[in-house]
Amino acid sequence: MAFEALTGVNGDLVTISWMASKGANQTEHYLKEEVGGTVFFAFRASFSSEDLFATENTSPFGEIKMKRNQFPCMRSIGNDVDTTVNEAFLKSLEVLIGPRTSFHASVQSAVDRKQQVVFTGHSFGGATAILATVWYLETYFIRDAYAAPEPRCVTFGAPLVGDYIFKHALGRENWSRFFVNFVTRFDIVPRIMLARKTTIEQTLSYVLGKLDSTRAPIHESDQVITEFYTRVMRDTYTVASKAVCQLIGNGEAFLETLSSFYELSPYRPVGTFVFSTQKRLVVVNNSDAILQMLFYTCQSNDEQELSVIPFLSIRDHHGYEELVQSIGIKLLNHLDLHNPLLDGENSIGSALDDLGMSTRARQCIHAALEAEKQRCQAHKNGYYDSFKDSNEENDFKANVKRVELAGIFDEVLGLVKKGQLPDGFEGSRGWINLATQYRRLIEPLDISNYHGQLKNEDTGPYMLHGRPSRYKYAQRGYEHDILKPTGMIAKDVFWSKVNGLNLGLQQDIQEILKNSGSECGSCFWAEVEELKGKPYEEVQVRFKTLEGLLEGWIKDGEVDEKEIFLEGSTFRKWWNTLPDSHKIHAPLYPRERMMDETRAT
Amino acid sequence: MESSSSLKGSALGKLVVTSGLLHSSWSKILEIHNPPYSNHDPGLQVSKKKKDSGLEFQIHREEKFTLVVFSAPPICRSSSSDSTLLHVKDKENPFPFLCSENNPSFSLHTPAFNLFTSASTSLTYLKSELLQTLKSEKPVIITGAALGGSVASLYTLWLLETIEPTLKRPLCITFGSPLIADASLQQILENSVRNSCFLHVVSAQTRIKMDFFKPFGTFLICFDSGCVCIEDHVAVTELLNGVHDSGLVDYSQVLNRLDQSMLSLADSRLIPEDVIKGIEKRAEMKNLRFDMMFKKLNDMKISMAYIEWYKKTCKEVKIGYYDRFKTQLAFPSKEFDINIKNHHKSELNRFWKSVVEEVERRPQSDASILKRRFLFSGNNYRRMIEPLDIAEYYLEGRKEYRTTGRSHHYVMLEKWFGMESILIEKERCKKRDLSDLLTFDSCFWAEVEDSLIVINQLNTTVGMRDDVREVLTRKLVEFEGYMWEIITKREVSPEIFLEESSFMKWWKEYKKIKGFNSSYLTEFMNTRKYESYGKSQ
Repeated sequence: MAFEALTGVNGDLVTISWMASKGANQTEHYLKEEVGGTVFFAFRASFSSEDLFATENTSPFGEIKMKRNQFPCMRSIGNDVDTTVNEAFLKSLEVLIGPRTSFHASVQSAVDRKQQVVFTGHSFGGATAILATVWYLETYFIRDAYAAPEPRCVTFGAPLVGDYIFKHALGRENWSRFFVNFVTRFDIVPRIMLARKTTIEQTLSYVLGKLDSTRAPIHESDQVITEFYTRVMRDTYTVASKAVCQLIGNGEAFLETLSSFYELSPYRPVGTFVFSTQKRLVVVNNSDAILQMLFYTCQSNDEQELSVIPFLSIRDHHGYEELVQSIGIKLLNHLDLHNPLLDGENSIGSALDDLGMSTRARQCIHAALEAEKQRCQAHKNGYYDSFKDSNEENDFKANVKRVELAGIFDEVLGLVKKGQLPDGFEGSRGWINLATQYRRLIEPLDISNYHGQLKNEDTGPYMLHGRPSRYKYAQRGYEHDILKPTGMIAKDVFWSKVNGLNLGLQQDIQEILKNSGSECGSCFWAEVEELKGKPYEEVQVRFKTLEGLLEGWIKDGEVDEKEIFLEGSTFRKWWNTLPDSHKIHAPLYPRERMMDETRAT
Repeated sequence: MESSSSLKGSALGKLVVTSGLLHSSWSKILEIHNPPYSNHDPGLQVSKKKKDSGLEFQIHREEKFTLVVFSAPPICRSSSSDSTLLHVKDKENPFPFLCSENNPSFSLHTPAFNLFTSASTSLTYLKSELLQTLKSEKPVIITGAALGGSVASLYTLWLLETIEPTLKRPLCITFGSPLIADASLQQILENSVRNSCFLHVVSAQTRIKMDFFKPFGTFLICFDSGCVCIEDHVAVTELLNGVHDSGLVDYSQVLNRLDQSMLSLADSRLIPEDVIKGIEKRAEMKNLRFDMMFKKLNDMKISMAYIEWYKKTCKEVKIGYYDRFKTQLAFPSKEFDINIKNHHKSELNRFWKSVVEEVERRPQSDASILKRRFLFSGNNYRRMIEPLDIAEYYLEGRKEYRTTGRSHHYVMLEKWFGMESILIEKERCKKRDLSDLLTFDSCFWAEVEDSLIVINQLNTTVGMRDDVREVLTRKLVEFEGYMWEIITKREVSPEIFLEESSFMKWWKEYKKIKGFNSSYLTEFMNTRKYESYGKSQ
């Protein structure tokens, strides 16, 4: 069925999710439902304002950074920044997976039995479902992709949960496809997180009371609701306008100056969105386009309709039962790269008509889709292939190649940092391997060039000022990829290795190893260049660290062992000057002897 | 489908309107013009109205930002188009930092400038206060209507000098203010990030005379049914230029209309098609110029790699790359040599000349950022390529390169490197191998050539007058002193001692003239100590 092809879930799964979500509101935390081998976890929606904005949180949107050691994948590799999410939502996840509920154990048992899990929720319960899915992906799915089946996350009128990096990281890991969000046309809740806390604070509790369906019915002329709606949409408009300016580019300096004077919501849509109107369902995957739609679908040509939209924005929050029943009955449209025809003739055009999208609105959507197209084109332009043939015999050609490759890599890195490549690009194994190969092969050349041209005398040590960010980036991507299944982060792993060498207290060593090439295998030569010529006593700790880590680097393929022990190598020459007392106890000693013997025979 | 520039203009306009900044500024402007009777605003500081000039300002400390409002008396018609010329060297000029190498002077709107200077003491005090605010991460809005806005613009320009790139930039918002800058200042600001700090709100009905004063910054042009934000000053001129319209605009009404238009669905096209086409074309050109510069930097590194290789192969046949290039110029043989001259060298020269031009176009304080970015590659380029230009120069039979033949861009690159490298701590290791060193003084070979010419004159002129001979001999002694200095400082490449080099030719001739007179240099050369110069010990 077309619906399943577009969203990754079928109508039955959605129906069961909805029933479970409704049922969850009668529970304290969550409801577990098992249907045909699939386990559904539905989360209760809370309508108190502390569950929307954490009480002690002073950020303008109640946001907080996710902890890297708990969610190692939820960050950007290019810019090395962690994900921001709503703190109140994160807290309800923490309660859920904590010892006070049986949730963790229930998921564990489903994983043990290799059952598919679906996380679901209506309203604020949907936010919990999204974070629970991320938690599942980080805790189970990533560790052993064969054992834990792909999860699904189905939300109904859920608020936005995380920022651009949240969206980017899920895209990079190819996890966005697990998320499906249903939104009735005017529902206010998916838009609430786009407003500043200060602008809605006063009326929030009142409106949340109205959103809670167990309370008294609402009136069309409720002024508080109109006020609340207007404030939310105004902020949403600011966010949407800023996004369009950024999509189109040009004049960034003015935007940047302007940006310190207002606060804009960091939250962005994640996964697939299904918007519903009276006659049809419109499926959208592009996060930028969804953001525009969250604003523009609330406009209307009809004066009378316009005046009741604030009322509809509350009523529609309870329109999901009808939506779920209409799957398979209503017309289905897909708004994507391949059908962005924005004129009224064809079906996608009339779908946009149904959603009340004006010409201006269509242009904004078009800009979003166009940006996506450009990202894909940049990807296809073959950054990849120009990189593949690298190792040249001739050292002159190698030098030219080195500079050429650096140019290409820097260009890719520039695109990555600005988010101008598809999210999945950085996560693809092919790219990570290529970047790693490049780093291992070419960085030593850069180091030798740096020291050959005596730049360390002009600019200082390589690790402090000389190391190009492309290698730092390649290193982050590599470490992320190998550590992902372990759930650990690179810094901790490095220090546990160094501490294992028993050279002293970590805080002392930390000071000594500042700007040391031991941070990364491909910087081996930079460390050798820095240490050679200095008295042994002075650099003992740094050298022992290097030596201690070398074994691991050789094993991982970071350093070529044959090369470093060659008779004429800088390392070998320096090694020969070391005191015997050091050599005999050094972990390298037997290896060095062995190499000598093989050469002698 | 409407073009992206028009969409951008309207999206930016909507962003500005929905951000609420215009309302915050305008309400404070109203307040300064019609002060409420009792004022208990604790964050408010009021300056006394200066009787002689009539300039007044207030500071409001809001929760998210600090607002400074300027108010000035209505403008006197007779002086409205007077201008004051300011030169970079004027002692009276408060804006010398804005001048660029290309535009050492510019003119300002006299009424605004006079008001600004009349209050210089209190404005200096205000400046240090605002800097404190900015350092505490709180941004600053500087605003005013009519002439008050013009003074606000001047004040913002002045404030910007002291704002480091790491601080938040202030924003100046003016309402229906007279333009203050001439074409030179417009040109200077066009290439500066400072341009992004100005937002001028104007009603579309207003017509501004633009024959002398020119627009800069971003304009929010308000129509009845909406607004657009435009940075492109040519388009701004096209849309607003006209005979001065004395009719006063009530911006309270303009802002209210804008608010209402936000909710409506009307998508009227506010800017004529041809104006938009112009904007797009110019934006594309500007992007191209910039992209080219940074993309090209990498191509240039590739060309440098070719020349590095050239230098290396020359050394293998015992001739420095300078002398090899010189002989190849006279008798070109290999394709590689020709390529070096015609392709790589000329590409590099063209590129670096354009970088220097770009830097010179900018205000002094902005330029330093760009300089730093290109510092090391530029220096490397100068040391590597200038010797080749020198070779060409002397082959044409000319002399005294350093004073008469040197291209301007080399002079600037050397000057910048000299200024910037002082900031970098230098620690040169005595033991280092110098075989890849590029001679520090990129005019070194010109000195050698000039000295060779002197020797030639001494040897070939028959019946030379004694005083002439003395002058020439003194030149030789000076050169010897220079040589010895750069050798002891280890600033010259060991390549100069290769058998076939011009320097060795010089030495052979010099030895004859010098006879048995011993010096540091003759001793160094005679005992062949130079053979171990620059080898690692």
